[in-house]
Amino acid sequence: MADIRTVPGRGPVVTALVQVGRVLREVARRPGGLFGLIVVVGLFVVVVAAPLVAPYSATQQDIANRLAGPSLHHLLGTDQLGRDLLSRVIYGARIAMAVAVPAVLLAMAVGLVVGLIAGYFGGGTDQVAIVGMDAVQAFPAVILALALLAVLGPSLRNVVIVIAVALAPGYARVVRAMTLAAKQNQYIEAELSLGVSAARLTTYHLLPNIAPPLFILMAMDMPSAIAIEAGLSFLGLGVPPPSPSWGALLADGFTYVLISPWAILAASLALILVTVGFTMLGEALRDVLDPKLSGVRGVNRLMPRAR
Amino acid sequence: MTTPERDARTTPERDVLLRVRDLRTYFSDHRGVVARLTRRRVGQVQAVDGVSFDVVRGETLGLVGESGSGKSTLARTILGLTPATAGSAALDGRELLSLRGRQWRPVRRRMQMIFQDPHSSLSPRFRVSFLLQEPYVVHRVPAAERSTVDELLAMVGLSDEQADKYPHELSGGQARRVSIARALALHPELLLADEPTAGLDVSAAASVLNLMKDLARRLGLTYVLITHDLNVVGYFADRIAVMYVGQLVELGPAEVILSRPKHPYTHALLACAPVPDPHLNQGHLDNVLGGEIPSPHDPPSGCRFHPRCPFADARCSDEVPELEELGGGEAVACHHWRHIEFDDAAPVAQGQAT
Amino acid sequence: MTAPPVSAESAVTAPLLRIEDLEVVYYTDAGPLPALSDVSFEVGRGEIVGVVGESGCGKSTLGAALLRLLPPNGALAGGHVFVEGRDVAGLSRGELRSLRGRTVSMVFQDPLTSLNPTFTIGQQMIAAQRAHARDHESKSELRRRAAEALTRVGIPDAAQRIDSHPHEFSGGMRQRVMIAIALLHEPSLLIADEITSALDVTLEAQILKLLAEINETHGTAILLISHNLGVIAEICRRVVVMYAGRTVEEGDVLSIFDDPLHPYTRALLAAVPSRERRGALLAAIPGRVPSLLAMPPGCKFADRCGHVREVCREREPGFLARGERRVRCFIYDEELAPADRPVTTAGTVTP
Repeated sequence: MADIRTVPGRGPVVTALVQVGRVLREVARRPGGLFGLIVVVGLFVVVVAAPLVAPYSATQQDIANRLAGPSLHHLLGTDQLGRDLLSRVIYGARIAMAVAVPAVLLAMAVGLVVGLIAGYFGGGTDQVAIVGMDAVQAFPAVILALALLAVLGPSLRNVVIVIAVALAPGYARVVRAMTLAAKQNQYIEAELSLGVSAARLTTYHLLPNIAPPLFILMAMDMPSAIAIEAGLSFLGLGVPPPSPSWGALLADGFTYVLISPWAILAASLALILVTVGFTMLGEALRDVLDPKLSGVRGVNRLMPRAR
Repeated sequence: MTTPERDARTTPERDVLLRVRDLRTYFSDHRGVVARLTRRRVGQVQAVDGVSFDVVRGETLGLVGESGSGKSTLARTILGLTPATAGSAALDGRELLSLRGRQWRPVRRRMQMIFQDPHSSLSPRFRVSFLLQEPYVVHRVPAAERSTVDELLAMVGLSDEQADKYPHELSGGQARRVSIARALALHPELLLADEPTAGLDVSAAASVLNLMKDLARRLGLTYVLITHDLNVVGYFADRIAVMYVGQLVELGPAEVILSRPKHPYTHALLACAPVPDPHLNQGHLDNVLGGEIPSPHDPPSGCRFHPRCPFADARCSDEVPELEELGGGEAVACHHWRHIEFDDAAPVAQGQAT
Repeated sequence: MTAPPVSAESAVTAPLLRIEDLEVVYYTDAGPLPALSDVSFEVGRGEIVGVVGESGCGKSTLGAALLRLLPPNGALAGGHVFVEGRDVAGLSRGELRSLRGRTVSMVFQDPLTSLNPTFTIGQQMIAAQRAHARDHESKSELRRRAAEALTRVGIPDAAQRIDSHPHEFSGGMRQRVMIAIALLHEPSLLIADEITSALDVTLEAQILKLLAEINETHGTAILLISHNLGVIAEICRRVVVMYAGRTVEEGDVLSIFDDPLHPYTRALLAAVPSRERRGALLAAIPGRVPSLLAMPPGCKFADRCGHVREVCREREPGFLARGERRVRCFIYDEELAPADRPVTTAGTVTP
């Protein structure tokens, strides 16, 4: 007769999902968090449904109406080739996300692996990892990006890689620090004395306890990634034209700013909104998960109560 | 419960479950890369410095010592959580200290540890049911050989309701019992218990001790009980080993150690320990041992106890005393034990019995 | 319903500390927590009184409440604390400051967190002295006193050690430093809250000896709060046993240990392991301490008591006098008909 409780608990994945739900609910309760969530969710909706939301295509030209201000036909005005700015901003969001999301995820993945290995094994491995992190972080992100792009050549894929490289050491450091701290916990020793493998120990007992701060970092890093991409595009080294990257919009708008400031305004507005949104989300996440305590105890507050 | 007459060294092989010989665990003082490069004298913490003893099957050995005595490090070394520097530890004849990686797996089924802090030794994100089944998952025990969660909980006197709880939802006593249940899941022969009553209230501690005694009897467990609490060893242990700054200073049957200690430190420990009996405490505080416990970073020369010992002389600061066999299963590491007479016998059982 | 407090020196001198019907409540998200209820006892001049109980019994709250050091969500909800005849609740801020550290001093469990790691011991001791109107004295004079205080608590080379930082001292030494600071102004009462719980046995003995010496030479009264019955038995003259925020028994130390009256006290004493108890099972107390959020009406120990009767669940017993002692249990309530009273056979323990 099968005893339902002999099935090992819930496992880490389901537990994680349930906790994510709880976290998001808590975040939405805070005004900053709510704003951030709305912006981020709105952003993703816009990105996914761009063709439905944008009134025009990003490349449709209307020379007769170039450099026009906001009007009923063009809510944010037009650029120097008569392209609708609102549509360009919307499609620009796609590029921003297409770059920022993979870049941050990649950075997190790389940082996680490096940080875990460095923290878990310590010693020489750790020293090497630290030197590597220091080397990469010694360069200002944009300079590093420029250098790498010069070697790799500008393209969407390369921009993603380059930004990921710039952001990865940040994650690696945090993961390493948290791994070192988590290792001190007595339950790690207890698990080791049971005979768990390094793989199981890491996935089940270390990872869930160091994960929460990573989400905060990711949320806070999105604006950085977007900003770096915009900067690169502004310099002409990002995704090649005619892609309506916000940086490209800024670059174009810069040339014609004395005639029509709307391009710059449009792109700036988008950048500011998204940056503030992600930052507020990140801060709300941080407040909810309370990293003053260790990652473990922070999330414990959201665990089911005995009464 | 009589302890058979035996000599620590010549115990018949089949009776000994754990044999530790001259075990040393040293940690190097991390002084930084520069110091190491310039070859400045890198300090060594001699956490465990030449400890030898046997644990007979079915008995409870109480390992007693204060901070810095090395008792916890000793336990971790035996379990393979800390690498040993030298010496040997053999479980049922099988040498442990040369095991690497996967070789530890089968050994871990036979030897488990209960850790000090009841709550932090349980992985906080998992329910009790998961934690209790994990040993089986890790060791790939076939379903037929697994005890159910309810069975394990019942073994330690907990109800089924606890199965769905998270560690932080349990009381100290309950968490401690869950750790015990987890340790017992694989039916080990040897259980190392690090301060099993630490952090528990008097009543919770009492029920844990009762449980441990009961389990020892029912399951034929062998315990190594690591504690600083002499009342606990007095109550529970068959034999007692006293450690001081990494070394074993006295070893023997519990009744003998408690009533007729030979080593000045053992005597001081017994004399200092506060007993819940105000009659016995009269004049107690007159014999308090002075001085501080030396740090293992910089232990005194010769006999490590000599700076605090009222009987020490020049020989004690020069020469490290050997652990000397006294017959009857007793051993002492002191140059002068033969000539020492403690002017008050260690408090003999005089209080009220239940 | 509470008998008047019995003190060793009642009619002659006013007690140093008199706690009367003290009630302390913590206000939490989950509702008000009655941390202390109906707590009354006294500490006379030069007495060492022990407060013993398990975790959650309210003994630490008691210590904090005496000096009005409760956390922001705690409040004195009823009763009085009189120090040298003056009601602590009625003191102005300045008077309270004068009380703390001067008339009544407190030492806590963890000396590492009680001392500021960035200042030397000497600096902190000088600051402690200056806090109580000694700013007219010269720094060298204050230093001298500090060194003296350190020597008195048994710290060798006090004149040099005074310039060390807290982390340079071992745990036992740090605790001595805390005691030295607490004694700087020669307080009449020293409250020691679990001060030896984190120390090794040999160090614990030294600290207890130090406390006994201070009591003898300076006549400082000590309120010793501990969960460790051995520590209490070591130096206390009188003992107060607490459970679930209430005092359940009070008496001189020999009586409490030889002839405990309250079932909880008995159970507690029966649960302590010792070598005399080898071979026997310890009498563990069944059940758990009731949650402060959901206290049953009546006696708080009723669910775990072997002698419980109907009356025990209906209402709470008062802290009744029995000779020089007091106990909160209906067994000793002479006003009840014998049929309604719980019974116990003297000398046996029923967990």
